[in-house]
Amino acid sequence: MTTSTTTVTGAPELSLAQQGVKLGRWMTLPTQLLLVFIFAFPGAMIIYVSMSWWGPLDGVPWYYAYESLNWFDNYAELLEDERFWGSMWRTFIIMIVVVPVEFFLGLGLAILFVDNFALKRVFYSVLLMPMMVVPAVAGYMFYILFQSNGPINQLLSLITGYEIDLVWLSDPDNAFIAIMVADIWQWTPLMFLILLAGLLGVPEDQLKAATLLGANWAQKFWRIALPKMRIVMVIALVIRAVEAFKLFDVMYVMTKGGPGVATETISVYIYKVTFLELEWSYVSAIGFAVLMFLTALGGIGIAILANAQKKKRLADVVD
Amino acid sequence: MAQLELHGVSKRYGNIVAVEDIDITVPDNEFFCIFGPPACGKTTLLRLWLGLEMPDSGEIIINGQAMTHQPPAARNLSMVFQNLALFPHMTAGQNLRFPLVERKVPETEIARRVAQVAETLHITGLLNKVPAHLSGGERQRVAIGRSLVRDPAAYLMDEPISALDARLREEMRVELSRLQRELKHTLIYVTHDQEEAMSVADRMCIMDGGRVVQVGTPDEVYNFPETVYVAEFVGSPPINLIDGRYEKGRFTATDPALTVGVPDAKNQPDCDAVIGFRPEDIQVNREVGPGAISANVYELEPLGAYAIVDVQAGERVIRAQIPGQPQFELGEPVHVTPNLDRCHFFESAGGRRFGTGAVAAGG
Amino acid sequence: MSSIELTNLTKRFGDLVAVKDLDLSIKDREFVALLGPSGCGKTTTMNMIAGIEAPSGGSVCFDTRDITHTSMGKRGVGFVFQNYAIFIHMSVYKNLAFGLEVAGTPRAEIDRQVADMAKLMRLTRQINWPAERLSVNELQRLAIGRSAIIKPNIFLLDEPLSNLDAAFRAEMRTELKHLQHELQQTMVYVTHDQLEAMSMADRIAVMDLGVLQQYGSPLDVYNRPTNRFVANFIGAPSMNLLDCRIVGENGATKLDFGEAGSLTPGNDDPLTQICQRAQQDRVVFGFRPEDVKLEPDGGGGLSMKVTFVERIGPRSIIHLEGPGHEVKAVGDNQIPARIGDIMRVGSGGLSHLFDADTGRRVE
Repeated sequence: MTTSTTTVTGAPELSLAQQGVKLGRWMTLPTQLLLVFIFAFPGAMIIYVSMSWWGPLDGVPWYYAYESLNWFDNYAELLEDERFWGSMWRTFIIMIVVVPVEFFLGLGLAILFVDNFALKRVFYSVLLMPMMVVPAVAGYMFYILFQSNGPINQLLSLITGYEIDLVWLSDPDNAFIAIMVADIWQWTPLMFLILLAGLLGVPEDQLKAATLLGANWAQKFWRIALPKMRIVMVIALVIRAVEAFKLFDVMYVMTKGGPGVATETISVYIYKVTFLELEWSYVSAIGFAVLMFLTALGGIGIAILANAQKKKRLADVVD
Repeated sequence: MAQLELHGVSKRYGNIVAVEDIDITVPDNEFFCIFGPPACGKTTLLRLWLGLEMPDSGEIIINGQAMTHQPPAARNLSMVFQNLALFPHMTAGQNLRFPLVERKVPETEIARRVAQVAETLHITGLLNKVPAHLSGGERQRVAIGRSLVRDPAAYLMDEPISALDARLREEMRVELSRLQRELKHTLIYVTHDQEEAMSVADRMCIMDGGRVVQVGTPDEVYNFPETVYVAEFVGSPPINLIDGRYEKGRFTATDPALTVGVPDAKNQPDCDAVIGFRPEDIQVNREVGPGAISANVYELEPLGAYAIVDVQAGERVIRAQIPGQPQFELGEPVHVTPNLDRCHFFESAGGRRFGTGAVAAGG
Repeated sequence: MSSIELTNLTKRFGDLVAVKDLDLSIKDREFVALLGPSGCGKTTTMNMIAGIEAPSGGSVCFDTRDITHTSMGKRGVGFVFQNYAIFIHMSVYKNLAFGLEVAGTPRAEIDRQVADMAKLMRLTRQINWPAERLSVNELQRLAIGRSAIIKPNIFLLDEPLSNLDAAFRAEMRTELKHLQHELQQTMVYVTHDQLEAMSMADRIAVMDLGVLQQYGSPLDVYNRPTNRFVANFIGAPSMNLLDCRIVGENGATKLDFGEAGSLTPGNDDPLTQICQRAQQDRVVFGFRPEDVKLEPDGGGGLSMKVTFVERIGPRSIIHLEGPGHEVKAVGDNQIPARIGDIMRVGSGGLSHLFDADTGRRVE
C-alpha cells in the first residue's frame, strides 16, 4: 500500500478554503488601491510639503517644494509655537470635559430607554433630533441663545429669581462653557444610541438568572450589564474623543476662536494659518502632528479592544 | 459500482491532528456508519471523501479511481449536511430540482426523478412550500431528497437527523434504512447516537481521537468489542467495569469482591485487568445465589418496559437492566449475579480485550 | 422545603391560551416532571411558578403562602435555564458565588460554600477557569451548582439535559435524581423526553395544548394511560394503537380489525369486560411493543407481514404491516423474524381500549 502524494497534473493543491481566500484578495484589490490612493497619497504629500518652506505665494506648484526643503525646521518651530500648544491644550480640555459628560448622560438615557414606557417612540425622535442638525446651524443657534440678553440668560433669571445677565461669548471662560454645552447638546444622542445598543445586547437570560439569584437592579447593572458592554463603551468613547478633538463648525460659528484666542481649538488654529496666514507648509506639519496624536489616541482604544478579543480567542483554543 | 476507500489518510490542522492513519474500505451498496463522540474526526473523514479537504498523506479511492486531489465536482458524491443547508428562498420542489438543473439535465428527466424521490420520502404534497413552512422532519426529508435526485456514486450524510426529537428520529432511521436498500447505493453515515448507528448500519467503525478503533458489524462491535473504549461507548446504559488483576487464569477484584476463572485468555501474561459486563447481562435478586455480589439498591429508574436498577457494592455503583417492572426499595439489600458467559476482560493498560466468558472460580 | 399548589392556573398570550385551568399539587420534596410536546404549556407553567411570567388567572402557592404576585427575585426558587445562562464573562468561582455575594454573605463563608458546591458538582479543578472554557457538560453542572448554592426550597429545571450528548445524558439523569435525594428539595422538571421523565420523576404531569392530561407516578402513566395521547406519548417505541370495532358474535366479544383479522379475548380476559363498558363500538386497541406476541402465521388472529427488523444490541425492533395497520414489536434477539415473513400478532400483556372519538380510556 503506497502512501504517495503524487499529484495528478493540473489538479489544484489548495483546499477550497484557501482558494476562497485567494479569490477574496483579487476581488478586494480595486478597493485596496482606492484606499491607498485616498490615504497614502495625500499623506505622503503632506509629509513632503511639511518638510519645506513652500507656500501658495511661491508661484510654483507643490511638487516644487523640493526647491525649498528645510527638513525638520517646521517641526522645530511647531515645538516652540505657543499658540499651537495653547490650542492643543484648550482642545484637550474640551475633550476631557465633553466626552465623559456625554458618556454619562448618554448612559443614563440609555438605561431609561431599555424598558418600555408611555410615548417612548415620541421621546426617541425628540432625543435624536440634535444629532440631525447641521453642526454649523447648531452653532448659530447657540450663538443666538448665548447672547447677552438672549434666552439662556433669561431662562437662568427665571429659574434663580435673580437678574442674570452673564456675558457668554465674549468672556474667555464662559465662552468655553457655552461651546461645551453646544457640543454636549448635539452629540449626547450619539452616545445614547451606541450605549443603548450595547445595553440591549446584554443577554436577557443572564439578567433573569441574576434576578432569580436575588440580585437587585444595581447589582445586575454592575456585575452583568457593564462587563458585557465594555467593548461598546470603548468604541463609543474612542469615536467621540477623536471627533471632539476635531471640533470646528459649532465653535467657529459661535466664537471664531475668540475672544482673542481664548477658545481657539486646534482646528480653528489650522484654519487660520491655512487661509489667513497662508503658511501651508507649516500647516502641513501641524496637520501631521495632530494626525499622529489622534492615531495614538485611537490606538489605545483599539489596543484595549484587541486585548479583550485575544483573551477570548485564547480561551477557545486552549482546550 | 461505488466502493469508497481511504488508505493511510491523515489530516492535521496546524498542531491538531484531525485524523490519523485511516484505513477504511466501504464496499458497494453498504450502509456504513462512522460513529464516535464529538470532535473525534468523523466529519473530517466525510469532508476528505467529498473533497472539501485535502489529506496531508494517504490515498482516497472512489470506484477504483484515485481521487485524492480531485475537486468535489469530479467525485460524483452527494452529501447531506448537518445543518441541512436548504435554500430558504426556494420551495421544497425547487430545492429538489436544484442539483439537476445545475447539471443541465433535461427537464423531463428532472420532473421524473423529483417525483420519484418525493414519493419515496412521502413529501409529494409539500413541494410547493418553502422551508420556513415545513416542520423539522419535513425539512430533513427535503434535504435528504435533494441529495437523492442525483445519481451519485455514493451518499454521504453527516448527522442528518440528530436535530429531530426522539420519536421522529426513530421513524426516520427506519426510513433511511429502507431507502438505502431500495436505492442500492453505498451510504456513509456519521452519527454520535449509538442506538441509531446500530439500527441502521450494515457495518460501522468506531473512532476515537482521530483514529479508527474498530470496524465491524453492529453485532460484532457490541458483542466482541476490541477495546474497553468500544465496549464503553457502544451500548446504553454503558457497560459496567470493575478494576482488578489477572493472574494465571484467574481474575480477582476487591471492590466489590469477585473471583472468576478466565478460560478464554490463552497465553495472556499476568496484568492489571478490568472486567466488563453489560447491564442486561445481570440479574438482581433478593435471594443469594452462586456467584452473587452483595449490594444495596442505590437508584431505581422505572422505564415501563424495563427498569434500570443501580446498586452500590462497596464504593462501586453497578447498573443492571431488568425487563418488566420490578419493585425495589431504595437501600434494600440485594444480590447481583452477572452472566459469566458474557463477561469481557480487558487489559488495564491499553484497554485491549483478551478474553470473553468466565467460569465460577472453584475452591 | 416547600410544597407547590397550582390552582386554576391560566395563561393567555393574546388569543392563545398557553395554559388552561391547571390544577396541580406538588408535595414537599417531590420530584415532578412536566412532560409534553413543544407548545403544550409546560415551560409557561414553570415560568409562572418561578415568577418569570405572571398568570392571567388562578394562583400559585408555596406551602400556604400565596405568591402569585410576588416578584421573581423574592420567591427563593432555584432556576436552571435550558441554555444555562451562565455568566460567561465570570469565572466558575464567581458564578457559584454570585447568589451569596448579592446577599451580602461574608467572604470566608462564601469561600467555604463555593468549595463544597464545587466538590459536589465535580468542578473543583476548574474553579478558577473563565466560564467560557467549560464544556457543555461542565456548564450544566455549573448551572445547577449556581442555583443550588443559595439553598432554595424549590428547584426548577427547564430541559437541562437537552443540550448534552446522548452518552452523557444517561449519566446525568442518575446524578440529578441522586442530587435531589441528597439536597432534599422539591424539584420541578420540564422536558419533552418521556425517557427522562420516567427515569427521574416521582410523578409525571403529562400536558398537551395547555391542558393537563394525566398526573401520576411513572408506572401509573405507563400502565394506565387515561387517554390516547398519554398512551402514545409515554414509552418508546410508542404503544401500538390500532383502530377496530367491537363486534358481538355468538355471545362472544370480538375485536374486528378489518382485513387484517380479528382478536377474540378469552372469557376470563379482563378485555372482555372492558369491551362491554365501551360507549360505542368504534374503539382503539392499544398494546405495547414489548407485550406483542408473535407466532408463525396460523390462519387466525391478526395477520401481518414483517417489513423491517432493527437489531440494537441485545434487543430487536420488528416492524410489521397489515392492511390498514402497523405494529412494532420489541423483543430479545430470540424471535426469528425475517423480512417478508407473515406472522400472527397478539397481545401477551396489558391491553388498553380507547374510545375512537374522545380518545378516553375505556375502563
